[in-house]
Amino acid sequence: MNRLIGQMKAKRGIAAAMIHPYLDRICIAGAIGTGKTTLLEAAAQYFSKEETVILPAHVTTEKLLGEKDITLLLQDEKKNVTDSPLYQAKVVVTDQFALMPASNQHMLVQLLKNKDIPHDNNVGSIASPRTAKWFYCLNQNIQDKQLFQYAKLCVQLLPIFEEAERREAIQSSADKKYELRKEEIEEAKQRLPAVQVSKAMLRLAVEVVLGSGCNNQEADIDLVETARALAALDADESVQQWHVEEAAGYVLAHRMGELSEASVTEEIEQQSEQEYTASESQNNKEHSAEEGAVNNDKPENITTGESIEKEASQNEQKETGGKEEETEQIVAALKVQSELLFTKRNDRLSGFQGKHQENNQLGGNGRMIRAVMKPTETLSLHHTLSAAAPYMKIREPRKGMAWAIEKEDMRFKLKEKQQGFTILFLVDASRSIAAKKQMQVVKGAVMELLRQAYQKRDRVGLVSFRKTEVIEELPFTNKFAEAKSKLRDIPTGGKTPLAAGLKKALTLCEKERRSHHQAVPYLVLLTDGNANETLKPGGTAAQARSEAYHMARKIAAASFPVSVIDTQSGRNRFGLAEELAAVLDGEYISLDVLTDQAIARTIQNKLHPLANYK
Amino acid sequence: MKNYPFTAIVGQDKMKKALIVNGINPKIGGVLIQGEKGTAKSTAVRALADVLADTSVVNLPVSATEDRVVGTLDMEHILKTGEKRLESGILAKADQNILYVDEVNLLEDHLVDILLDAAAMGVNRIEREGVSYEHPSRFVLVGTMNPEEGTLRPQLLDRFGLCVDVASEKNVEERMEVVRRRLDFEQDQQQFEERYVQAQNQLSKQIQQAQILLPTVEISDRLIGIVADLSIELGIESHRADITVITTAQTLAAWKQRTAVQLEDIYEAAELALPHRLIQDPINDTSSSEALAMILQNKVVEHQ
Repeated sequence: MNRLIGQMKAKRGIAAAMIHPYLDRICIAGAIGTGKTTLLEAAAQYFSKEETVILPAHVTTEKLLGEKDITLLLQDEKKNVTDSPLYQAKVVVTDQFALMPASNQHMLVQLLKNKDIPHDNNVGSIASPRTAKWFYCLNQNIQDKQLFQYAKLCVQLLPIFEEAERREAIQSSADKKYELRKEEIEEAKQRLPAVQVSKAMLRLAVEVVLGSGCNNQEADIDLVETARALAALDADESVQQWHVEEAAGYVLAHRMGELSEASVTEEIEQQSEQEYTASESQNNKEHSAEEGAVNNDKPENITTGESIEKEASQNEQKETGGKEEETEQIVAALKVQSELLFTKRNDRLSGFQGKHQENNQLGGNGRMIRAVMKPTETLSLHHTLSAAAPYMKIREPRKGMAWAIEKEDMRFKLKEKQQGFTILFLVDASRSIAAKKQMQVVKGAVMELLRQAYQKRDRVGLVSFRKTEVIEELPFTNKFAEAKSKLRDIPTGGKTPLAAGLKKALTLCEKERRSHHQAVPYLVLLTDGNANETLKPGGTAAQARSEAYHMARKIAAASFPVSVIDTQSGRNRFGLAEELAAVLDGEYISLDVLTDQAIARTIQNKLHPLANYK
Repeated sequence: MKNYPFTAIVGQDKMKKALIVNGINPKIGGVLIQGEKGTAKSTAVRALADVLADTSVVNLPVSATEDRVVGTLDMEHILKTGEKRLESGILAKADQNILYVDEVNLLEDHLVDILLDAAAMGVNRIEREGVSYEHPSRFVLVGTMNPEEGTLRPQLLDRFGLCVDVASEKNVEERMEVVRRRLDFEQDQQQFEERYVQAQNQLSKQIQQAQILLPTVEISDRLIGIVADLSIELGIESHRADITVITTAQTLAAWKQRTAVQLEDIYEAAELALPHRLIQDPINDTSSSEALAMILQNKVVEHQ
């Protein structure tokens, strides 16, 4: 670990996790090139090679669950059941966790959390040892902040801006003073059981968690345990306030993002204020009661020792006054850390990272559609045996085998996952149409589609264009709650940059097609077809029209299914939307009465009969 | 590793009650526990097995393979001997046990289909790869989910007999108690368990007594009428809802050492069995369980 210059904070976090067996899921977060992998490697060095399991991002579902090795062609009869690599692992390392397919991410976490791995010996499941620790790296700029939530501890690596340290990092001489040696960790481990938590510290920890707005009660325990581990590291006999403070940075910062992103800070402030007033009055009451009773009371068995009670009461008296301020201070410091984790500094980057979000390759998990000769991940025994059957009479089985199977008989399972559509709404929010009312209708339609999205496996996104801008109001999602909070306020009015809107839609659809190989992006355009703003603002209406048509032809060339819903109705229709639909090579839908239900129904009817024929 | 004792879980009474009635009477059809992370959902489910006789918790990972769940050919056996043999899957292990699906809303689609089939019939039929086989698979389906991460398919939702919402504790003292117990548990599991051994024994005894009492519990026609009325009033289409309310009420009566169902049992059961069957307005924010609680409250007042 000495190769890492600076980053003391991160190192102490890792050390705490090493010391305490309970702290078993650790996330290392940081921007690109801040030494995440180096830290990970350093952490892994504390364990022997046999105990360490390194999982690459492309690990298959079968492998995670443990699979049977079939030796069709080999003759030796040794036991050929392969256990899951997680079985009896002490350390599990996933450097590129964000690149794993979402389904495997979930499974890996579940397997690690539940501590039992289905095991193939008809005895039932065998619990893996409790000491299995899991380290994973996350790039701070990843889109999906959800991935942070799996960690009990999260250490952050910060870029270094001091020249001297930076120079040192480049030279990286390996024989510098060892900072945290293996023995030190071992010693701290020995000390851990004796580390006490006073009642005051326990209260402080719980209040900090509540104050941070984190609802997860597991965080309470993690925080106290981390503080104990840190105290053990410092050879302290009991947890001190700075331990709680430090531990909060590892335990809470990444959980604060669990609140809906937009309103994080606001909510925290509100909540914490309430909590303070509530806990304050409570504190006062309880303190007076407790202090009288403390010495006669049975030991509250916070941990093993008994002397703590007295100590606690002393501490309490000292600290009651400053308690609220302390909590406040810690929470304020946490907010800064949390913001570091959760701010999107580089929107530009999301493009190339987005495509790794989900990997829908054939093979892997899913429903089998047919057997193929081309090797996939799983062998279909039934088809293989059928293929070999006709030759049984003329072939000689290998030793120890009842069947004679040759390589050319092998058949593999081709699996498929049910895949929904991706629907992108492109909505004209300009003045030329009754935009505000229309927007309500569109939002309604989006929500209606999302409500059915889980069953149909669809994902829905929304882009609006007005004035000179195009805004991605809702990135593709199938999450109802997320969509609801994002769609709350969409401004309307201004000119119509139709070309820019179409361009954005094309980019998004192409990106989507690239990342989800089987997903078909379906574009729904709501407009009156009247373009009057150019890609570069300030052009004439005629230019705007020709640009829009140029973009439309591009979309048609990319052969995305398109529907144009005309927002003009009744007699005063100009036919512009109809014209646009023709250029787009899409379908023109005129809804005389625009309602959310009608739109949702029209789209569903379009997509899902189609889905059945696929 | 030992499980955390069921009786040592602080608070969350509704969840505990829902789990216990399912433990007494598997016919209720399982329970769906909805709530945020870290509210002792998984802990409670795992702990339940300890207070039930001869029952274990079988875990179904959300992304398991079809082979694993349904069962498949035992390849090794076939290759060695040339005989066909089935290798049983998770559904076989789950028979007579608790089938636990963590984050059930993230369960892969093809697994949901399998699960629905098996849960409906109580039988797992294997028709694949030249195998035709069936075995009983009667399990108590227990699922947990965080509703923020996506909703559940309606068919699967209806399959759960009961549904409870859990929320994290907001009281500092209570939370401190949770941490304290957890710390003690981590410190010395043996000693911790001894402290709860009496409570645990008492609970399993009470469950066993309820199981014996259950077949004798009776329900009057008047109360059945009340259940039907309630469903009609709430606009619930599913008949399974009525049946579940009645079964649950009977089990609750047995749990309270009675042989006749009373009105309070019905309302208590309705509170557990109906929330997820109400039609929910997607745009409206008020949760259906709150609305239900209000209606039930009014009813109770009326009858008094």
